[in-house]
Amino acid sequence: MATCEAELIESAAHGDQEAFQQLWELHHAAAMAAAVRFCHQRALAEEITQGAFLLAWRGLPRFQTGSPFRPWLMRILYRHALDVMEKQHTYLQPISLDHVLESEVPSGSDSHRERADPQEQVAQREEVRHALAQLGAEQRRVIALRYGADLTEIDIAQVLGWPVGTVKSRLNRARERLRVLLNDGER
Amino acid sequence: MKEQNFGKSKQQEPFDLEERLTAYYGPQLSEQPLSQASWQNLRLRLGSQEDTGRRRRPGWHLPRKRSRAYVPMSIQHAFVRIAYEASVPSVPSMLRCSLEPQVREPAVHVSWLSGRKIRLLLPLNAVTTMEQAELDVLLATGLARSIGARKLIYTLGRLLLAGVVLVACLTLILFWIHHLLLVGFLLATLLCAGVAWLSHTQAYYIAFHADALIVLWLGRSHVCSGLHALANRSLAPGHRRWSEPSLAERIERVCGTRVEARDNQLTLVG
Repeated sequence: MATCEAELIESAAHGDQEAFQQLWELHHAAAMAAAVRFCHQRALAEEITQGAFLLAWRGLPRFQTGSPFRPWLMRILYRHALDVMEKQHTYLQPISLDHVLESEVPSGSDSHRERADPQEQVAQREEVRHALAQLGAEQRRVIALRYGADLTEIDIAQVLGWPVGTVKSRLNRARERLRVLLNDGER
Repeated sequence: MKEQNFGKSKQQEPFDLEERLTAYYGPQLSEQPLSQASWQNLRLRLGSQEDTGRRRRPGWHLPRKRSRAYVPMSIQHAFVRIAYEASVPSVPSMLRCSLEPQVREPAVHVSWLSGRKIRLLLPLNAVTTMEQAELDVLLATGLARSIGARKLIYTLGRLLLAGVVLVACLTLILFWIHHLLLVGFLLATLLCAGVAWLSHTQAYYIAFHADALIVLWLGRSHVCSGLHALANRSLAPGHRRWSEPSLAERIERVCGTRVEARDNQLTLVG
């Protein structure tokens, strides 16, 4: 599979759209799942996924041969998703009940939140969304990558092109601010 | 990292930021395959790798201004579809879109000088809440006005108006040199007012011709339902803007009906 994928990448980098279609077939569903989790809107997630693949297509001639494709694609996807979400001000748009129902884990979950009433879940998520909207764009980016993509601080630094120390400090400041905002909201 | 120090006043549960954020984003989702149409859409936008290579060639280039306008894909698709159905040559780069939190009602503007840029101004939730007819009418209006504005007669008219403004400025300078500033100022003001009135009239003509065109492209019933939906969204459908007929005027001309007065919808409380 690895050799096959390397060949596909090589062909796609030389303009072969059919090879790129096979790369799409292999990776788009995972990319879409990540995008839905990240932005909470299916239509926007599809747009982000397509945009990320378009950027990947343009970047393929610079792709480092031998390195895995998916982590590279996901880095592009996360960067693109963050840009699109900031441009579309998604943090100012309410979360739909449909999304909560879609993203609910069907069974085997022991977390009480996942079994909670969907309306209550929407309300809780709305509080967090409202708090996130009050953060700076850079703080929102690190929070999204940490909790929406489960990336480590080193991975976040790689995605955003910031030093690890900067990521740590922005993450800490964002958490402190969120604590204050969410705590105030609950009083 | 459990933070137990903040108590929930309502439920007396411990406040845990990590848990709240994890719950906000939810668990990792299973793979979400997309339809074949999604790949086809992407394929249309791919272009060739040679184009990319050409762009990367070293050399001296003027710094290209990066467009800040972002056009959601659903709007791009609708624009391309309308242009195709109307057999009008268009490029998606003509379209700019701004999603603004402070905007209450959707609007479309066409650049005054060249008529080549169509700018959609939409409220934040427009992409999810707008009806297809509304979006179609807005996009078709932009496209039709862009075509109208690029007609030779209107282009010449605009050049003439720009010339008159220049003459007004020169008049002001000449009269100032001859110590007749007040007369010069009055003349320049008159000329500029004339230009503004002519420009306003020209924009009205273009707008009404554009409405006739979009009826041909989309069909009268579709246009009327789009215009009525826009009027329902608007706080003041009868309100005229500079160089822009009101929605009520457009509805009256296109559909032959009147927009319901907002006052009728209010309930009087004794």
